[in-house]
Amino acid sequence: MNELRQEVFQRIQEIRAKAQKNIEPNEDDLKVLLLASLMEEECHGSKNQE
Amino acid sequence: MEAKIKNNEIKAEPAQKTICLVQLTRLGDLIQTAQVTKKLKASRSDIRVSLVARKQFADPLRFLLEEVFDEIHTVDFSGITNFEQNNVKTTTDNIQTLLTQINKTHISALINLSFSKPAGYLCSLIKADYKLGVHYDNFSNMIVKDHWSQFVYSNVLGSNLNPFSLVDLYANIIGIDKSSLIPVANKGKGKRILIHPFASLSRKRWKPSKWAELIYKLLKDNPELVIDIAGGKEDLVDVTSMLSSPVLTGFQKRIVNHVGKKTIKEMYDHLDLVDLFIGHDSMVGHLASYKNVQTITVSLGTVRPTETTPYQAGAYVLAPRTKCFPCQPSEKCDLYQCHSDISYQVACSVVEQIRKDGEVDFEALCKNISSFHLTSVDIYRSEINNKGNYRLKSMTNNAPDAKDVFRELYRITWSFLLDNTDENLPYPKLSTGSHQVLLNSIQGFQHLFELCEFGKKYSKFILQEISAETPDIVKIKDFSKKIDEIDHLKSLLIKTNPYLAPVIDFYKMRKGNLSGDNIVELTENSYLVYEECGNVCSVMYELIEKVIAEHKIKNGIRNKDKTSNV
Repeated sequence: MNELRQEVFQRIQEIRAKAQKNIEPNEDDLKVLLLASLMEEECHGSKNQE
Repeated sequence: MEAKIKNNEIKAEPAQKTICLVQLTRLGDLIQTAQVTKKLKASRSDIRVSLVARKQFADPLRFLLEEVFDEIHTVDFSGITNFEQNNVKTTTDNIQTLLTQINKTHISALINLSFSKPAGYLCSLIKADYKLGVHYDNFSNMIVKDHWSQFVYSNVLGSNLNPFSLVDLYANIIGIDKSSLIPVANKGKGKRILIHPFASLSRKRWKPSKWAELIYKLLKDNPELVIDIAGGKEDLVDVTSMLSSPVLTGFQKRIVNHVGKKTIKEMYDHLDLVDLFIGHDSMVGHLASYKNVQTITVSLGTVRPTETTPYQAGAYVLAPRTKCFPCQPSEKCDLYQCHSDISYQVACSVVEQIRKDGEVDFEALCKNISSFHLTSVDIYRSEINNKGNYRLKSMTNNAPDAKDVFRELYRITWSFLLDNTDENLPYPKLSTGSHQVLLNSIQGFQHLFELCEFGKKYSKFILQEISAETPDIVKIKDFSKKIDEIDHLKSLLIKTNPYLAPVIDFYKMRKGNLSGDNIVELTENSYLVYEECGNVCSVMYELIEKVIAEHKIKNGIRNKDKTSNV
């Protein structure tokens, strides 16, 4: 889990860097963002997991 | 696409359009989504409707969902991600497999009815001609373009002043005629009651001992009555504690315990034998309403009765008059005052009246129960008007609190401005407290209106500067700064006038989602948003003035009566 989290964190940094240069994220980046949101949900819980 | 050749002309037959609904929330929300889809299919049978839902919630309801949806895509996020074993590559590959499956059918409109981040990102990845609800653009900015989704995002998630039921809100987002297929509860007379005494959070449910007292009283006073108890495997401990209560010792033969024994489908079938449902806000209540079984919901804790009461005309709700009700999930509470404010005596009398007459008569209730019990509880009955709008009508003589008054006023305002419908509602009664709150907020609306006028003024200045022969960028920046200040002041206004939050939050959302590709279009639309916000202030101002005037007139009449009596 920690390795995956680190990998996702790294990818998000890359996506941010791209956004700062005004480079559009690609579909793979959006998938990473979806994965990050699921990890966030897993950690903090949400209405869906009450 | 098929084509027909007739008289040498080739006429293309339009392909059947597909609407895809994304509902990643829980069982209750899925049943409510099915209720909306039933209405949609009733008015537009030519449209295919598909559903994207979480596997864990959609699978147990598949029997019901398959009745209304043409296609169901289940998403198993835990399987896709499998955080312990997968790396980013395998996970994104799994997401791609899911997307390929969903994208196989051409989707004309994708509608996101769940307001979570994963649902938003998933919607960004699904291909569709039009998208409604929350999704993200290529730069990961959240987009919510349609009014009703903006309303849900700002009013349902952010405040407890939303006056609409979730089913109506879903229907408004999809844009369907709500007046078709209005479900009406069968009269709950009969000798079989289904009780679901559980809920997902402890603050949303009575303790087992309190339910035991209610069950005892019902069985003792009604010798022919049989009570079914529903629940899942996770409720086994609570049901054992409830049924082992000494008060129920002599009544075990008339209690049928289904907890942990029946699937949702089996419970759904069992509802055919049941005359009345009583329970907390949960999936079973929605399931009962789906079968038109009359429901009584005991709303506690974070539950907002206006939003989530089972969708049927003739449903009853018992809600506490506790000041902090409904609370926010983040608020800590050890006391659960709202649990004590609804006594089992009130619940029992309501059940007995419904069993006897099919409805609740408050006058008769007052004769049976001490006012000590009645003053701490509100009893509502649901109505669905001819336009299909769902509303909870108070059955008691208690003056509504300020939140209730505002909900009614916002109901009139939002229906008129967003749905173009008139809601004819009676003037709400005012208590001294709610009168004072209205007087304070009338000034708040005045301030908000003035801020909107400034917003319009500076938007106009920007447009004038842009249209000048040599636009001055410094001036434009200064005017933009002023607009930022106005928006900041609007946000500050919520601190002193919390009842203005629905308006301020909604227009903040609208402003964050302005249409336009250039500064002119954006500024024009910003001007229109200020204009709209000002209109809401005017409508609310006028409504509050009228309610206060009516309150004063009524008090005056009452004073005169008192004088003449004297």
